[in-house]
Amino acid sequence: MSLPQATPDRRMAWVSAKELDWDGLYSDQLPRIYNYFRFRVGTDSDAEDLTARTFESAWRARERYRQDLAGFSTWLFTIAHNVAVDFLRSRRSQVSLDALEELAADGTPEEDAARDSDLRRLSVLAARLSEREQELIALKYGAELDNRRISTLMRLSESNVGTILHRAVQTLRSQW
Amino acid sequence: MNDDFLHHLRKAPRPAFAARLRAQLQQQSRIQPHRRAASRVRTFIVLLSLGGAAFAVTMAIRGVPAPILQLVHHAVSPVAPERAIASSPFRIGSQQASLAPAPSEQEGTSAAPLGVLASTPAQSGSIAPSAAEPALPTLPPEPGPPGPWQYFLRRDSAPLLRGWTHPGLPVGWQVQHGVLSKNGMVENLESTRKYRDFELQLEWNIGRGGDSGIFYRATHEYAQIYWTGPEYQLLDDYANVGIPRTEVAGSVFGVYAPPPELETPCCSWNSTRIIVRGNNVEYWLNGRQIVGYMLGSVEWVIRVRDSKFAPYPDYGRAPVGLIGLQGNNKGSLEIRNMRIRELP
Repeated sequence: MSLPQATPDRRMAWVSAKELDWDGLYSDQLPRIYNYFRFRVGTDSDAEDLTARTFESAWRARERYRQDLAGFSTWLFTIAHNVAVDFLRSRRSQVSLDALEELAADGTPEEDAARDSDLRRLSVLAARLSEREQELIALKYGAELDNRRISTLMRLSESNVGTILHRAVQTLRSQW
Repeated sequence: MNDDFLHHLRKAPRPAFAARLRAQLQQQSRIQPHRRAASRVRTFIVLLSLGGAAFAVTMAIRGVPAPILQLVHHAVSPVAPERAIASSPFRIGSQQASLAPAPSEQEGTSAAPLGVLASTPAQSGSIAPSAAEPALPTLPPEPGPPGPWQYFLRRDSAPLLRGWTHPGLPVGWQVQHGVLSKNGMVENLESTRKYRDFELQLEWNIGRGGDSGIFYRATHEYAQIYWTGPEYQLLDDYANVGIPRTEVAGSVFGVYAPPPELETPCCSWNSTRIIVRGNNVEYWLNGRQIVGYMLGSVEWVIRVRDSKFAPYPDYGRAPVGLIGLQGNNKGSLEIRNMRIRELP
């Protein structure tokens, strides 16, 4: 299934914050945020929960969104990032890496789609990467953001983003 | 594994989930205005009740002013005002009370300070206790307005700041055109005097990768200022992705996090307000309150116990303490328009 590739930041450049097309933004950003979380946390149910949290936070704070400071998707991904960090911190204190591996190895039912199985395996391997590399993988392949947008979000240079991603994917490939 | 493989792992959210979330958000937007209105009404009722209670307590202790008594007795009793006041359980004084306005009203000045009713000598036409009867109990003067602003920075100096160990401004700090700045790791600063209840305002500009903070109610109990004084964290959040939310800009460092959507980048001016009154603390950032907490509350105790301040039992415990600025951390920092006023 192809997902929307719209770039609302550019489209909304002339629109004031109060006049944002929230309906359109929701449709544009939902798949990105959802897949960002799938890549970050590895399970669909958690991804749905965190996606809902992110949109609810953004919705509650929408009057404080200032377009002059950041594009909408940058703002939304900042909230998503903070939600993910909080979640991962709490999960890290509850679930060890070993337990995560067992979950992936034993808990893959046959009827699960191969894609979900692959994603879980990826999550286990990605857990061995640094926090920054995991974030970049999720932003690049989950949210499908380009390197320029990621560099803005992560405060890295565009070339640095490319280098780190290349290295991270190579590491994953070697362990796959 | 390649890019295509990784992209292929994406999938669309379940339509049921997308629809349910959309419905939830729409419902929130419908409910919110009603909630806001209801919340305003609730706030108004609570404030009204508190005001009424405070007024009743004040009246019970100090006695009811004659004009109010007169009005009440006019409304509920046909007896003459003079007799009504004389027989009132709220003893205003044995002298004849008249309906004449208080001296301050006569003179067209502002209302007399609280407590003046019982302590003012008897004057013709005024209500005052007689020499035969003991004076009514008086309250100590009630909190007045905040004290005057004290400015930490002048054009080329910082008269209210000094080094943590050295008098005067330590090497590495400088003031130019009213802007205090440092670059790299230098000695921490502290105020030249201690403050109990106060409102502190300042503007700050943290450099790329910078990390600093504002301390309050700090003491020299331990070697480091941050082991006693709670901190308002100043940070380039974008250069510190992935750190706990209790350590980002605007947090009570290590203890309380600001709202999740708050992200403060480097290299721009931000305004901060810290209000400390009793045990209540408020953090403000760019005109918005971002944190509110109570020192010594159960929640605070638990959070501190679970934080890196657990080994320091005097953390956040001093009722009076120094204001501090962190210098011994990385990056550059600029501070301007730093001022404080004491709260009654």
